[in-house]
Amino acid sequence: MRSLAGSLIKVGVLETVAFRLKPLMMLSAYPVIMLANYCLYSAIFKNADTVAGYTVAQAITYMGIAWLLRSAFNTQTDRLIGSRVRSGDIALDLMRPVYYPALVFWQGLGRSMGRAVIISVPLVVFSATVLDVSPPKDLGNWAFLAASIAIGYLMTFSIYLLVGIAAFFIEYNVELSWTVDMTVRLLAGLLIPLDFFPEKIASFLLYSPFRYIYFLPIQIYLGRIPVGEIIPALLTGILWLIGMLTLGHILYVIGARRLTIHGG
Amino acid sequence: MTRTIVAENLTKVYRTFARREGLLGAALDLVNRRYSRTVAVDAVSFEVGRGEIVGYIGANGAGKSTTIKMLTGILRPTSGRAVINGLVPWEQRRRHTRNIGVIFGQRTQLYWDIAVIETLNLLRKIYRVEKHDYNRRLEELTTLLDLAPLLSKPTRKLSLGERMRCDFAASMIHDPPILFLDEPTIGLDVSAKFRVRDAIRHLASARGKTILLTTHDLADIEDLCERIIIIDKGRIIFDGLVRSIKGKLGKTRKAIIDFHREVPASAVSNLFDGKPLELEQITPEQVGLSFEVEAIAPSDLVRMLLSRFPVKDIVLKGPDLSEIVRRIYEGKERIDA
Repeated sequence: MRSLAGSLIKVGVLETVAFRLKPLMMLSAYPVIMLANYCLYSAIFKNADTVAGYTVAQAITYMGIAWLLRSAFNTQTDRLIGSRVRSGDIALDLMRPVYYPALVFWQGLGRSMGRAVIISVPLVVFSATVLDVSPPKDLGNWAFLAASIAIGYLMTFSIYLLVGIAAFFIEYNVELSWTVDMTVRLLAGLLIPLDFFPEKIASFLLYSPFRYIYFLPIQIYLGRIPVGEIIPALLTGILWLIGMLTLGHILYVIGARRLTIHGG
Repeated sequence: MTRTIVAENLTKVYRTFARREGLLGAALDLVNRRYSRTVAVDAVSFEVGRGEIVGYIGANGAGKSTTIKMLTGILRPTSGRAVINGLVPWEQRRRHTRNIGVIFGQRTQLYWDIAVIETLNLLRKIYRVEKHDYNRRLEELTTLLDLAPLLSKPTRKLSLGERMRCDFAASMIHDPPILFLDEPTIGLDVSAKFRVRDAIRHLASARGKTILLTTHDLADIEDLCERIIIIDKGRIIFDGLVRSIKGKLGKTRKAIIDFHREVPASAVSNLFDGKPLELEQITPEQVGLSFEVEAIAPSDLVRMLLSRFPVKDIVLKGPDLSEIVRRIYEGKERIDA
């Protein structure tokens, strides 16, 4: 199984670098939004030293790290599954002696690794030099940080899986995928830090599974969460993950049974 | 003979909704749908023995692909059962997939943007094929299908014929005993078709593969299959030897007659007054004529034509599988399976 995972990852990487211009185009999109955030937060903090407990350096670092994570996480596995269902090519995937969700996971991880090297690494340089994104607060927290990023990644995948499997039932999932992506951006803390929401909404959002994607890793990165609270938060994240992936598995089993394969 | 594929009363009913016409209709369809049941495959039963190549044919929408999808395990039948190499395809799907190789002529299992060899390497891992076996098989397939110049190219740069050869290799990496080939020659030019047929023949004769083949090109069938199953509106209407269908229904002849001057089809019709035949005016000087040998003996027909008209040439065509099958599809022939 390990060597299969390795091969699937390799295919994902190869797909990312299949065209010479593709990496360049992917790379060019991110500095735009990152620069926009930089200008926005510089303006917001002009007349205030702190907003919702953030200094300007923290807010800019928050946004920089959020989009860095996004650049590696964004594999669009849900759209891939959806387009396979719509064209009927899903038949070919289901005809393999491999658990389909695992197949798309490893391939997605390959695409993520390709993206990390091609997009994220140059963006780190860009963030550190142009955007004043600061290094992590406390080097002792790196293990926690790595764990929280892994949980964030898996949470992203489990959402992709659910939206992708939804295509087994509704046939066309592009609009759903778009809606979910927008919702996740907001509720996971990619558009704005979750503490920027009105207090009632913010305290509610801290119970949602979305916060593990961007918000929690960045809180650990910034040292804004007490060390004693990190482990319980990570464990809760793992429980959420188990729940989401189990739901994905159940929907997959039901969906594969009733799937109609399109095309002759 | 060992029964490799057994299908019993396999039935698939699709629930489809009847779309209304026009914009208003489409809007109504969003809130209120009228469903109807379509029986795509209706109590289909057949058996295929080990090492057989069976042609599975039928007009578009007859239920061929639906049958194949059920036998490969990706579609659950509404009722009926199937056992292939001892497994129920849709119940034991993942184990079943190791026994079968599948080609859909209209799809490709190769990754579109990366080199063909990368897909093959990945398939080796997916099917857990030993490195040694894989290398030997790849070498064999490379020779059989002339893949050497193709393996390093991405799929999107291959012609359809090249792609089909690579797809063949992809479906053979795990050396499955059973092959489902769903229109493997679709869209190919004549020489590419010959290559694909050669490969299929080799796999059956030298490697003992059991093959179920669907196609619209009956030359494929005549070239490869001794036995055909004909499906029409979801039901099997013939299951037997190609030879016997020709014997049963091959009593039709078609004559193409060239005259030295213009001859109307009606004049020819008058000559054979009362005999059942079909006439066709191809050009003013050329008439096509289909007839049953039981109604008119070919020798009599030729003699009568020569005695009455200035005949330049007569071409007589014997039983032709595609003609027979066309007549079956169009409901002009009845056969008892």
